[in-house]
Amino acid sequence: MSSACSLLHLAEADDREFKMGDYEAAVARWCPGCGDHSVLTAVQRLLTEEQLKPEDTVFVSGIGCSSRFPHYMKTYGFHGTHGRALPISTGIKLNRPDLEVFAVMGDGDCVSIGAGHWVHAIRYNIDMVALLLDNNIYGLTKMQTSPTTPQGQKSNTQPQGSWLPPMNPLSVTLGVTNASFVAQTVEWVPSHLFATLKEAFHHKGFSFVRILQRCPAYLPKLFEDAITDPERIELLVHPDGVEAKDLEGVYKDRVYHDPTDIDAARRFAEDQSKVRIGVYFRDESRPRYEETRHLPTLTAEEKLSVLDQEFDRYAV
Amino acid sequence: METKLPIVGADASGGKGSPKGRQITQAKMSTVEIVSDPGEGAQKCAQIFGAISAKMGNGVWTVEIIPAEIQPPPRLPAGASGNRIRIGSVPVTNWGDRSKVVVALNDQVLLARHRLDALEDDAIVLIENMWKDHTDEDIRQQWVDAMEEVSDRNYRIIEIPMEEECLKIVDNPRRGKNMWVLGLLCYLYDRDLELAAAQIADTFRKKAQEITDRNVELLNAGFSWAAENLGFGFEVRPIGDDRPHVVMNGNEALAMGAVASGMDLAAMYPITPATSVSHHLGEEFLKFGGLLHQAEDEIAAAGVAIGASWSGKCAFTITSGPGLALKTEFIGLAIMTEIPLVVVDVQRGGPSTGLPTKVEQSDLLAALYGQPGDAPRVVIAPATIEECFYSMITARKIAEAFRTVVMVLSDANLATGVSPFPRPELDPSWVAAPPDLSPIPEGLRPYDWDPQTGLSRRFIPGSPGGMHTLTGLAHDEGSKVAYDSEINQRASAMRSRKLAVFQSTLKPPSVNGPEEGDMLVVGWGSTKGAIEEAVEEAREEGLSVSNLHLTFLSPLEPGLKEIFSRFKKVVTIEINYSDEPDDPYITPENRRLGQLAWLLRAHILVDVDCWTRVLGEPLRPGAILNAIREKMPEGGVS
Amino acid sequence: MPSEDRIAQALEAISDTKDFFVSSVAMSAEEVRGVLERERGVNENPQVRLAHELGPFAAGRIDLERLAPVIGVNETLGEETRRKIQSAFEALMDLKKAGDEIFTAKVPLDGYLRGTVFAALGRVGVAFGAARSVEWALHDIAPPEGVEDALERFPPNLWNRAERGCSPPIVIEVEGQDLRAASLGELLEGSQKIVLVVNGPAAPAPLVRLITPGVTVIQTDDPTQLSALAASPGPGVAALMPEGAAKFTHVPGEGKGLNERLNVEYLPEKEPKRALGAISAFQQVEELRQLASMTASVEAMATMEVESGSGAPPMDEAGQLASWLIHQANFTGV
Ligand SMILES: Cc1ncc(C[n+]2csc(CCOP(=O)(O)OP(=O)(O)O)c2C)c(N)n1
Ligand code: SF4
Ligand SMILES: [Mg+2]
Repeated sequence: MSSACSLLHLAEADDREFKMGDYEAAVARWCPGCGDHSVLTAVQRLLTEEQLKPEDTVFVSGIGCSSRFPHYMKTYGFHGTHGRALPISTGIKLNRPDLEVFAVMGDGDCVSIGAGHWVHAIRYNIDMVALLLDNNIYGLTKMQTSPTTPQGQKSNTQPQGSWLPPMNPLSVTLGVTNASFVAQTVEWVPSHLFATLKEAFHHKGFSFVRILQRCPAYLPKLFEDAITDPERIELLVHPDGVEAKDLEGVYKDRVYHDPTDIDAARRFAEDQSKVRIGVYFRDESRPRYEETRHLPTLTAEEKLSVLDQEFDRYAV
Repeated sequence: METKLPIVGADASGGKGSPKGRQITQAKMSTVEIVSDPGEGAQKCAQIFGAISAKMGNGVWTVEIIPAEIQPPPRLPAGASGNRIRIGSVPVTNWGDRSKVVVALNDQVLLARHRLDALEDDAIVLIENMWKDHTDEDIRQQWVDAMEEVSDRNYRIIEIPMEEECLKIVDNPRRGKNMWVLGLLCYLYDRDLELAAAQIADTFRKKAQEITDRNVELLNAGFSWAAENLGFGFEVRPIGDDRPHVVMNGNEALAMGAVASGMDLAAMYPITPATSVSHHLGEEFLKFGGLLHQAEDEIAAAGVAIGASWSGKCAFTITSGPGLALKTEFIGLAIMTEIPLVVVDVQRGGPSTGLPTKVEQSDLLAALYGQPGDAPRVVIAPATIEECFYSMITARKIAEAFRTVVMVLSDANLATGVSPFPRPELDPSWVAAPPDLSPIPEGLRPYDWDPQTGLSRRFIPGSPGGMHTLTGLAHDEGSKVAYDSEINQRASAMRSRKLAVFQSTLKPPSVNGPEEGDMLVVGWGSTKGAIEEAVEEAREEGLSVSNLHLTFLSPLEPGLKEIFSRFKKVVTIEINYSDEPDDPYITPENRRLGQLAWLLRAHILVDVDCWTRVLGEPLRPGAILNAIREKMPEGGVS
Repeated sequence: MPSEDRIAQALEAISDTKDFFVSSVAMSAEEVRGVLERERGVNENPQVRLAHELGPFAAGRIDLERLAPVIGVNETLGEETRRKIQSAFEALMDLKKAGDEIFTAKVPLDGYLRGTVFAALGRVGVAFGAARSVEWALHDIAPPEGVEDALERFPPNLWNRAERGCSPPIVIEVEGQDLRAASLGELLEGSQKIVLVVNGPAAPAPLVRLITPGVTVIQTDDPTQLSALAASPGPGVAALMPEGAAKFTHVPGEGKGLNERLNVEYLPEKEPKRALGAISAFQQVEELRQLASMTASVEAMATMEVESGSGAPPMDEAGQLASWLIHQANFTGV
């Protein structure tokens, strides 16, 4: 619960009903076939299903192809600076817990330049959704190595191939104290993507979703295996996670994973033999930072009378 | 500044139990220091002394003497810790030059002050004498060496058996000697003992009554000892200002000002000397429903403040030099996107880690221009502790009204100086009301700049119909990314215009002293008190000099060119680095100037000279006076 | 225990909800102050106002005559509109200052429970009335039918859905003989919380009638149990009963099945024989039996679960079926 609500806001009778189109702004200018398009559609569907008021919903992003996301949403948007979507989101939520906040980040954005903020945002566990659109490359700046680029993958900055093994955003997140929701999904399986987003949205706390995203412009072959061969994918299923019943026919590899089991979650994240999608971990009992602000709101008059008492302490 | 007034007869001195024939020196200002090893309570003694003096109606400026090391061993010059207190029969605006009286709890801390040239040539040194005849031979030798070293001055050294006297009352004089010293000072300056006792009771209000009683006993003992053994004292009359006052340091004043302005979210990362603002805020905000957010770094702190500001009431972030460097990109974003934001920089010595605890005014140009790209913003500099309080109220209002970043430049001098000012009469109009979330009228755009003023209505999340994506990319009135060649030119002009508009509402600054003359000294920020004191002293010497102090640095206050034209010479005085004109290789062409001097030259095409120092301490009025004498134009002495 | 103490305990139990409401009143008062500040009256001198807002730092430094027109000091509010908004602001400030007593009321002996609750909510509901008045004034709309003086009385039948989701909690002191709980049913909407502090002889299970799947219902003599009421997001009612009454909690958040939601701690064995005021013995017995039968079905379900060897999700089919059946059989319309 936030610390107060505006009665004036409540007073305005509101019987609007929102359709998909109500959330659509400018025509998305990503490359044809770019995975960001699917994420956009899934998110718009989520907002429609949840009937979120466009004026009370905020998309915050950094800089990158994926960070263009807010421009295509007809909500409030904040297209900030590279790597810094999370501090901005934190500020918004601390001041306006009544707003629904979604942060959209690329892999360079979140895992490289914004890594410090990412780690701390996980720990703050503020009630919001963070989407990592992970295409394993820097798209906007034209194909430089990212922290998640597969080892050996050539890029413009590492033409000899990426030297280091990639960073694993899931293990990192699961390793941070106070992580409360960690999931992975892929943008080319819309129903799974949608179901995952929905779980993330309903989780009370910082919901981190890594979305594997195709970048046909620079890494056209990247997820080819996983797309063409369903056996490469393993579904983590659970009633408290994503059940993905509709996918039973396609993805046969299903593991019943209880998202309260962090040890299992970490093992699943660590093991790279499969592309494992679903809710890895969730725990709503973790403290949320915005709750530190659960304080009575004072009127200006009251504030000043408290301040006046403070001055007594300094009076001579 | 002091006149000797030998007064015979106890009644004239006014002090209780003062011996006949006590010599009283009447002083307009008097500066006293108490120095000891850390942990001996010199600061508590000084704080109480300062508080009683303020209560008795004197002007007071107290500043801490901070040890150079964190945990120094005892009896080391680098460990000297304590306070300087300057009291006056007029308001005291700065820490002064050198001290008249010093109470030293050992010979080494005295040396520290001596070496820093902190004591007047004929200072009265009241020193604990237990070291002189100490059982440890090394200590005895150090005493001898120290006395030898200070003998080049004319100090009047009075050895006092503090330890011995305190032992009559307490077992461990290390805890308690400070209160005995307080008693002694109360005698010297004729302080009201009852006030002192009450102040002690207040200081120890959370401890057992015994502690207060014991300390009051020590106080009285120190007083009586002085009455019997010291045949002199000082008289510093009250100012005669009956208004109620409060006494605090500049950081406390900033914190209280932030609360009074209605800003209720501050984001910061600890950094000296700004941190203590957050210590006060952390506590204050608990009572006011605000939030102090200690972020993971200064970048995040700026981001959090921006996110908060954008979505509601103006928020602020507070830092010092190195932190300001990190906030650079975000400040640029706030300016580009026209998000109101208050950034407080409590300046310290730089660059890099620099002098973390020491004062400098070296961030002026960084505050004004420290952004890649064109990033106009408002920069203001409070000059007094009182202004630290009130500047926050104005800063918040201007930030919101002009949709801009307002930088508030304080410094370590204001942050650590403690001084009384008239108690503010609080006004609810200062407090920011929640932002306007009413629906956005059809057709209005998020940057519908008034073509004259560049101002536009803020669209805040929650306002129906105002949905848009704010972007740090160049954008048009609709917040759409600028693809059209002309938009960036227009948008830049609009952001810049706001400054011009604000400047047009500023009044020309007033000149302190005659409106024309040989020399005009120009300063900004915390140096005001010291500069004015020096300039007034110079005029008493017959020099034709006035001064002008700038509060708004961006936009600059109007009318400067005209004012400057009435003086033969204009000199800025600042605490930042400039080349000395006669140093090797330095020519008028390559000389690097004080930061305000750069700024003034660039803006008003006047040949402004400067005198600046980066000694890690506030400017001393005496040093400024010397500079004025040196910089006087030919034939300046009238 | 004297009833003041029990009222204090009841208020304590709902203090979070109460504080939230009071905070919301303060926040709204501040918002209205913002409106009054932005939309200045036609007869106001904008410079005087600006001088106050900027504070002493600006005095002598900023030329207000120049600044006022630049930063868009509107003069848009007519005298009448401004007066209406000002009255609404004062009503909110009065509520903010009123303290706990606006959250309590007492049913007079032989009085009508629902009437008291309704009136009490109408009194705190002025917060909503004031907020609405501001909207009406700003948009020059006449108050809708049925509203007399929204700054005096704004009862729950006038609240909209959003307002009901932020409704003020209320503590009502009532004699056992006047506790006709069923009458409260229609008020238990949104997030409405009602605590009844029951004095004197009372029926053993009067709150049973209010058990529906979405409503928290607590009957207890232990004030610590009231915390479940405050913790649940939806509507709820709790009664602090005299000794001897049934003790149970029905908490919707505990699960889908009645077996998960209902916890009966004490079920009196003796059936009441005498009428209490207008509450007949028959009615009292009915209520007690209803609670007993719910207890029995809950126990039956528990056994089913044990037999099927699972409590863990996914819920076994028997459990699902049982919960569905109970849902269908007893309760509708939630
Ligand atoms: C401070 C800063 N450094 C570098 C850049 C240049 N830059 C923009 S986006 C980007 C990386 C984008 O990659 P990613 O975050 O993975 O997003 P994608 O484009 O792949 O969606 C870089 C390096 C910048 N805008 N700002
Ligand atoms: S470059 Fe890659 S990530 Fe960027 S829009 Fe094109 S396909 Fe998408
Ligand atoms: Mg990328």
